[in-house]
Amino acid sequence: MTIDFILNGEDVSMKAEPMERLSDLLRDRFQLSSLMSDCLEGRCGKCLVFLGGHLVNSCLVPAFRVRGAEIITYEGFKSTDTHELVHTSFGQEGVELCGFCDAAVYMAAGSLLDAAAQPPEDTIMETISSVYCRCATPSATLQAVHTAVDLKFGGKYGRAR
Amino acid sequence: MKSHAHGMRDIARLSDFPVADALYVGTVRSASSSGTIVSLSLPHLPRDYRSITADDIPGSRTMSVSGADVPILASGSVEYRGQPVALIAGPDRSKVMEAVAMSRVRLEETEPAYSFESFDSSRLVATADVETGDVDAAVAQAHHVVAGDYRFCPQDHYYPEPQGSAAAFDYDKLVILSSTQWPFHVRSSVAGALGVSPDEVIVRSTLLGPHLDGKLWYPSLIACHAALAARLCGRPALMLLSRVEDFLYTTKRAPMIASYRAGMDEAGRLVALDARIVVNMGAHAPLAAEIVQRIVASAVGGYSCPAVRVNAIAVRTNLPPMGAFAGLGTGPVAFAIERLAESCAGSIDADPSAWRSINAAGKGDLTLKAALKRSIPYDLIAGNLLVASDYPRKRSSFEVIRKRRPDPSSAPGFGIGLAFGHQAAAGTFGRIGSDAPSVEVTLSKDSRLLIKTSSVPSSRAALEIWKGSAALSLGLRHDAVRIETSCTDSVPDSGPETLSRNIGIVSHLLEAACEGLRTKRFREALPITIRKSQRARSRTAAPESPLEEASWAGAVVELQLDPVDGSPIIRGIWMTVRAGRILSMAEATRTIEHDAAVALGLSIGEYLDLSHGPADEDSIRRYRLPRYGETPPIHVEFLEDETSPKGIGELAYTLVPAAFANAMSQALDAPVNEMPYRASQPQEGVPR
Repeated sequence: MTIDFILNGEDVSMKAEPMERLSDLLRDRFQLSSLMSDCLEGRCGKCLVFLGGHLVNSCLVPAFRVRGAEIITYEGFKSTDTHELVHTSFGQEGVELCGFCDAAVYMAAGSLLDAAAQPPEDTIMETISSVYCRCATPSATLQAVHTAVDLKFGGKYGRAR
Repeated sequence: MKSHAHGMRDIARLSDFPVADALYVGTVRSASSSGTIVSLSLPHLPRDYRSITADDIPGSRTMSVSGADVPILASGSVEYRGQPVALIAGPDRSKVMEAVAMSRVRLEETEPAYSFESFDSSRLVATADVETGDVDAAVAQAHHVVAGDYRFCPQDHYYPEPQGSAAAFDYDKLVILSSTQWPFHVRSSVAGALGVSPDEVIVRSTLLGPHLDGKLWYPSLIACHAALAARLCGRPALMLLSRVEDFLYTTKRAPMIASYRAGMDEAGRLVALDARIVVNMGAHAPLAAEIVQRIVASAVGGYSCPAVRVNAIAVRTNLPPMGAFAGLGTGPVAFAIERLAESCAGSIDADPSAWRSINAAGKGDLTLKAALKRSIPYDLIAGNLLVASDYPRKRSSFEVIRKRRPDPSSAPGFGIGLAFGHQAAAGTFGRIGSDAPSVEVTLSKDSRLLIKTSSVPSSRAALEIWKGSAALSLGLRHDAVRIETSCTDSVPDSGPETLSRNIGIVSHLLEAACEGLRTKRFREALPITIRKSQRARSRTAAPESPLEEASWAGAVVELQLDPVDGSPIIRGIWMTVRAGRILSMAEATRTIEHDAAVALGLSIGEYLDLSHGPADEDSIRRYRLPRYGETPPIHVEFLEDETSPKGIGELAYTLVPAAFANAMSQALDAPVNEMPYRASQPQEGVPR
């Protein structure tokens, strides 16, 4: 089937089997190397993308589901202000990721900053926990995410900066 | 041969290898664990596709791993389910995988052996012993005797990228991309398989990530497969295992059973220690000799005992090859000795820390035959650790709860556990032939320093530490120092990146090389190159205790049981470390914190049962990986120590499981002698 959708702000079209994995298609057809096809079961979170503004594991998304949808991968996310904020916060906290999970962790953190209001602690924990990688020092990564949230939402008193 | 290797220098991860002109390589595997190959049927392959069997290997059909011969492709017989029997290479990955699925390996099956609790002598592959004093007489005369069996189950390394390799010709040289801890082992293995000189093979390392020693030798096998495809097809070839293939067929932590018996005098001092430790090395038993040696050297921990008998045995089975996991066998044995220490203290109603203090080996101790040059720093470490964790007060409170609980059939629910142990120096592990680990430094005319080493640290921070210390030593700007690590044709062999060799060996060599440069730089014309190699210890030198040059640490884990489902809720982890001069406090603290978090996950959810056969696809779904939200506060402190820097990369993996098990034993009022802990595991003494 032919599938038209918006990928990182551009209208694209591809031929694919309806049940092909979105993660494979994005890697193979569009050379989007930020997506890691690892567990293919939605456990590791290394293939996260924004589908219609929601963070999803692209390995669990069949091709037919993206017809007419908007997809943002890390390659697109990289050019946003939100990415800049996340990148600054991670650098500030000295968080070093392994080179395999960076894109997914940054996207997960970014999804928290795109919310209308400061996300509660359990949402932060749940969202960041959607990526699994042995490289993370959890306290440092969480600190970096909190720093990003504080920069965006102005700290725990909710003042805008 | 023309060059297909353009651009390979820039590839950081194997999954980024450009597949447009490359062949994808799939593996046809044995579906049974043991037997003789009767026939191999492969589907008719279209043009541009080809199969490769052992008969196509131009050089050696096996590769050597620390004395063990591992077949590159099985021929004649198979030793484990999933053993590679043939390869299929072709331009379309899905067609290759289809052809692999249609292939059949027919076997005349033989009865596989999975158990290592009982075995015949034909399966024994390596042993190591140490014996001092008359153990039987000492046990007979002891006031208290404590015995226990301690088990450590296999576990998966779950590194961020599954095993893989790519190969392409660059004119007359074969360039291998490999995510490996040991590039020179990849080079020698590939050269052996192709029957060419090692100089004709160049290995470039790609990103490793946290590997937990799972990428020590297995990448060499995968590299041989990719190299064979590239050589026989004359095109670049990529082999990248799926996560499922990697989980099912590559190496795991070697499971272990340790049976200990300890005799104590009236005051609780150890007078006898008898241990029999059996380790399951799986098929081909790579690293068996090294692992049993290290087990024996660690089996007594840091304790003193006049009569010791330790017998370590490595057994071959029909499971996939087992081996290193955050060190070479010392973690499981530290779990055993620290559980035993807790039981010994419990049997005489002594405080576990006080028991460790009176039994810590002092200067001149002869427990492991060679006299210790320095006392084991238990009191120093405990002094800090117990205060930081408030261990004495919490333990007393939890003991009161345990002893006075109104309903003895329920678990007390609170526990705090202590563990003490070491990380031995890297020693001579990983030398290939006569090559000694080396580092080369060159100071150029424009005052730039180039450091060459094949040791590939898994963290960029480690590289920064080396750059910083070299810059400081020579009075250079930080950005004037460059480190080249990635390519075997331009860097010297620094040995495998394991056992904290980066700190233990490479940092020393770098320091010595910079010292050499400092003395020469104003006397000789630039550029000056200095190469430093680790000297082998003389055979005639006085014997040295394996505890010499070790780093030491203590860990405390505090937990409480969930009142609803009884699962452990970790309240905190504390670690105090003494590991020589710390090159970067921030990086060292982060390393221990990271390792403690991973080690806690390994203690609780990462359970893999291979006692009845190899893993299946459901095992990977049941293998529970820890999440961010489950990590407790982790407090790390380093003690001041001006001796040379030592490795810290194994300490948390060694101590956190033991401290966790000791805490769980108090919280359950029943011994937890198996790692990882499962809520459903039968506990001795727990009332039903």
